[in-house]
Amino acid sequence: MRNNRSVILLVVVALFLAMACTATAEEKTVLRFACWDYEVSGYDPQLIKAFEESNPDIKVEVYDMPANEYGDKVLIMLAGGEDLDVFYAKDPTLYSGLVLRRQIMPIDELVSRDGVDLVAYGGVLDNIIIDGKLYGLPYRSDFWILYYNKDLFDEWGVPYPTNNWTWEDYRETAKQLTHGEGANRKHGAYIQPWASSYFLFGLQKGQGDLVEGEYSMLKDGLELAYQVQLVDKSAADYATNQSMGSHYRGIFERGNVGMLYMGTWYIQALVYDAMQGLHDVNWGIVRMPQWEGLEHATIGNVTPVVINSKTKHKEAAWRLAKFLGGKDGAEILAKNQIMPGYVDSTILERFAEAPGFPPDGLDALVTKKVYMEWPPHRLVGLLGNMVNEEIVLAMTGNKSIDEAIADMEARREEIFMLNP
Amino acid sequence: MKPSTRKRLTAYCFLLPNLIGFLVFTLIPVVAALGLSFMRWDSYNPTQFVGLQNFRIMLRDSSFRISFWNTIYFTCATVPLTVIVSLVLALALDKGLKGLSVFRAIHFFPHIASTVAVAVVWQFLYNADMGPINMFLKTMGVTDPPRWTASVTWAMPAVIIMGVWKSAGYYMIMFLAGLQGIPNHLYEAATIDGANGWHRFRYVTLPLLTPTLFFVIIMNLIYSFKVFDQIYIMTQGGPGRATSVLVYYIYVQAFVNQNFGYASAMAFVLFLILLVITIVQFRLQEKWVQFVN
Repeated sequence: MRNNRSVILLVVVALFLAMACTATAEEKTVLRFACWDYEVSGYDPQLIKAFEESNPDIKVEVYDMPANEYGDKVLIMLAGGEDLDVFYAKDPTLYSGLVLRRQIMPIDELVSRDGVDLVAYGGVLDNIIIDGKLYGLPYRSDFWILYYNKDLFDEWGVPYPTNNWTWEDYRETAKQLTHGEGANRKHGAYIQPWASSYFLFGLQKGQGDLVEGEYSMLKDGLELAYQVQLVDKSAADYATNQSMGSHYRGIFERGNVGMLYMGTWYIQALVYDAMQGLHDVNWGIVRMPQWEGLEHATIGNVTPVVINSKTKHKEAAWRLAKFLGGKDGAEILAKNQIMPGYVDSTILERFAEAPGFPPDGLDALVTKKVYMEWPPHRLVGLLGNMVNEEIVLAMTGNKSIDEAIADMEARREEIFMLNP
Repeated sequence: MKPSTRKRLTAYCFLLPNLIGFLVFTLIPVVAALGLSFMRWDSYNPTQFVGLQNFRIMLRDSSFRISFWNTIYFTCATVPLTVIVSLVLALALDKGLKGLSVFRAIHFFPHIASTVAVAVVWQFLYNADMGPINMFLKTMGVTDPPRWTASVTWAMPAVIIMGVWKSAGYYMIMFLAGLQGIPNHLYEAATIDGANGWHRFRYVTLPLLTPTLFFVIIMNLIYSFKVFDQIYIMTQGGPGRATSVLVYYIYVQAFVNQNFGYASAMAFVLFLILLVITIVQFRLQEKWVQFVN
């Protein structure tokens, strides 16, 4: 009996303490924030910490998800009525879907009320304006550049790539850098088996996007990739990369390929892996090669930070979004060598200051024209699947490139017809 | 209360927990999905009734057509192959072998291994230039071995072979159980009557194994129509749409296109197909399945 009573007393005290604790927490506004690979990335925790320090009245509760499940999970959480306040729209499919379903709120009024300077986002902003409205500030804005392994160039006495390269230069150099046979073969280039690695050549021409533009723009690029992989054999082919589960990070850092075109998101990983002692590749970067005679352009992706239209803490959520997508966030991202959406000269300096960044690499990051991989559009998901399927067929030799392009046109028509 | 009513009530009380579970987690979602197939729904905004539109779209959708025939192809190859392989395994491992349980465990292993891990390994095995399978074929004198998952023609057989390998051990266990249930004296009687090994198999084993066979075929049919994970990981429905099956396409329409109504309509069609096949199977079983008392 005595024992029982003391247990009850203990429980009561514990409950009381717990209530006291929640009471202190309640004074703060709690924001629910979703992102991917929070723990792994290293920079998102810095952002959230810095935000909480400068906004002591707000507490941010983080929902961390694996990168490849992020889109599906966010949709399921929103459909289930989970009260997320702020999150990243990881890809254009997710962003346009969210806008179309009115799951995220337009921020134009807040932007003009607070006088947010939009100039620093450059032309990237146009790509996330839908029907004249802006639904998020660009948190990250990545674009594709060319990475190269200086040691391999030195080994074969081949001059380094320049910022004014053409795709023909790329192909010739890839041939010169390829040596050896079988498992020991060192390839001049590596092409990641993603659809974007194959359609970016076409988009660089500036002849429209993959929703509305004519797919014939893809022909030269697909032929180039085909030649490099299956004729010159200066890069492993699509089917091999696919079945080996190849990933550019491991491949490039093993030091067996001369060139890799990849997004700016890889800079951070390259620097980080070197610090961890995972590789000692002496790397450099230049702008993406371009087609002969055309103005320089590359392709890219914007990641807007968006606000749930059902948020109960509109003001607090806007403060967080403004922080993540604004200059404060950009400074932290640049220090971590992540390309922020907000870019001015000081941000780029931060970028170059970081240890491990190649001193001659800054010019590669100055780029005038960035075309988006996919524009915001309601059918981007289905069209993306379709374009990917046809590119795979052409790159594995199941179809000629001309057939694949003709089939893309026919299937786009069908997709539009079936999804009015 | 009559004693019989009382008894029945007690029985239902015992069934209740399961019934509630079935109702909440199976029946209600199934009915909701049926309802959804007449709607347009993007997972967030209010649903919109569209009548038979989703079913009409299905008739014109080339991806649905391709996925449908791919599913039939997958099933028609997988079911007989799995039955034959698992039956042969069961007969071989039934008796008279040293270390029997070890071999049984080895063959059962693929079934419990994670599909994700297994599919990644098989992807490597199927590699056209460096994969062990083609290396072997080349040493056997095949000059132009199939390009497996990279080829429109061979991707489906590749997925099927992996599927059979993965599930044969599981059905083998069922056949083993069936074989144990056949009384020994029947074999003895047959031997006295002058039956050789083949006769014993054909006229004793096989007929008495038909209940197991029936069960294995039904289960395997349903599984084959519902195949998803190995396709999703190994080929993503590709190259092109060569291995796109119904459930994979349902996933694409639901989670890539956010067209949950259309996805539900296709799921409902899949359900109808399975229902018809199962009913037909149960009708036919009276003709060929033999139960012994």
